[in-house]
Amino acid sequence: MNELIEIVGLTKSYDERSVAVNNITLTLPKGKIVGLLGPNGSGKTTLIKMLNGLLKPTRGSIKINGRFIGPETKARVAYLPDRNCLPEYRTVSEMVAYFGDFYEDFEKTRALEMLQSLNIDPGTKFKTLSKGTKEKVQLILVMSRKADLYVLDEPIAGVDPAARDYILRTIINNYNPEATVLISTHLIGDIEQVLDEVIFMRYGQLALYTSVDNIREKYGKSVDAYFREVFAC
Amino acid sequence: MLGKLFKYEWKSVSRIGGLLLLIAGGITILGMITVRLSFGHVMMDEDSAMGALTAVLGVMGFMIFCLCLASISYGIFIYLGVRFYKTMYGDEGYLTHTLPVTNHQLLLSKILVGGIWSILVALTMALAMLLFVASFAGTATIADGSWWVGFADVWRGIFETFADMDAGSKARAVIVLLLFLLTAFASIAGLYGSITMGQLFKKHRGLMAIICYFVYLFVVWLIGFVGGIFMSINLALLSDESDVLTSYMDTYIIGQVVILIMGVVMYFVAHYINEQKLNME
Repeated sequence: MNELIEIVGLTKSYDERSVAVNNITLTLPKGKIVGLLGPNGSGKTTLIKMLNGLLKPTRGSIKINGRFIGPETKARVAYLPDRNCLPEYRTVSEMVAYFGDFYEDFEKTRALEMLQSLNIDPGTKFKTLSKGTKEKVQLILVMSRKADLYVLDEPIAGVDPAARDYILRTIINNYNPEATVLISTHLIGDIEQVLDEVIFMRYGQLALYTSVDNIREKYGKSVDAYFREVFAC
Repeated sequence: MLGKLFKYEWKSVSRIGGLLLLIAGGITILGMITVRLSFGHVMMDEDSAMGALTAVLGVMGFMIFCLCLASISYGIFIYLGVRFYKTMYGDEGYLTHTLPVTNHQLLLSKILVGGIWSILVALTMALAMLLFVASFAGTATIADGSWWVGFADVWRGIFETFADMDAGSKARAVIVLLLFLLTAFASIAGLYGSITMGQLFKKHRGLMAIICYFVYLFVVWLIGFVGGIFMSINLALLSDESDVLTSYMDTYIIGQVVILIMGVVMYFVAHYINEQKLNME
């Protein structure tokens, strides 16, 4: 069985007029880096939240590794949210211990090595770190897991180009090669070179799911150029 | 996983909980020293102007002291509520709800820690009150010893009352003590359940959580009030003093049982919402 994620008829509506995700059916394989692309309000974050059990679908189902969302899937999914979710009063080393306690696939040595490479003192409290450093620490904690699925929500949004390079390098060098990485972003040009497949979302619906090579061969364009054409205002 | 959740929750709550206990200790010591310094040398003669002034100041001091202790009691409760909201439904909730744990484990760890801290704070408040009163007793002894009963006398009185009780009343007293402990957890479950109910609303979830909590308190009060009316009627019909004490305990038990049942209901409400209706903003 090569399927990692099976989504069937997935719908999330907040009320009758507001449907954030509309009847998506999708299967994602193992071992791919997949870009989740779409304009603001297209339903990317809603889909990601449902994959992580942070939102309950109105209809439809999601299975990861053949299991519905629950503690078993959460043990195998490494999630980087689009915000800082780490307690401000805790130190970096406390959070390393925290991840080590709760996630069996967490590699503490790898996390400490990455922190050292960035000269981040593990004894520092989060509240004293800059926004960019907090994001890096959060990414390090997520990427130090040997998960089956990495879900990264806007990992390079709002950071400078140097930090962007670091984040992309960290993702590429540290993810479990047998795992799938799902990256949601607007900055397609920066991330295109690492993607195997792309999902285009529009108005909560699945507009396109194909390989990056297919876009280049079929349309003779980069993913970024094709995205701009599809979503031209 | 419950043990790990408990460990981290305990560590986090202890920071503020410990601080509040320290403040309570500080206020108590300060109060005791003030009582000693202010009233220790004064003869407790109510007829003299100084004696009357001392009595008034004493009552005022006692009220301020009680107010400080009440603030600390509410302080821990408010802190637990805010912390629950932040760690479950704020940004930290993104971490909490993606841990490989069940909703029962999450809720139980938070209720257990919250309940234990509520009991610790309540016991500290009771101890602080006794010590404060005892310091008055000390000064009174310097005067004529008739104003306050001694600290030891209070305890002796409690144990003697318990010893004089019949088997039924003793059983009731034990139930009252057990209910005191259990309702600490039930009250926390009620608070957390109300905050979780607030998450069902689309907007102003923090405000809605507070409103839900007041509605919950009103329902608990209403049920307890109706039960209390029946007990008061019963109480009015009793003439035997021991029956009156038993009846008072029954009234208390009814009130506590209502809190207990509502706590269990709110626990399952919170569990159902987290399991079926969770909508992280």
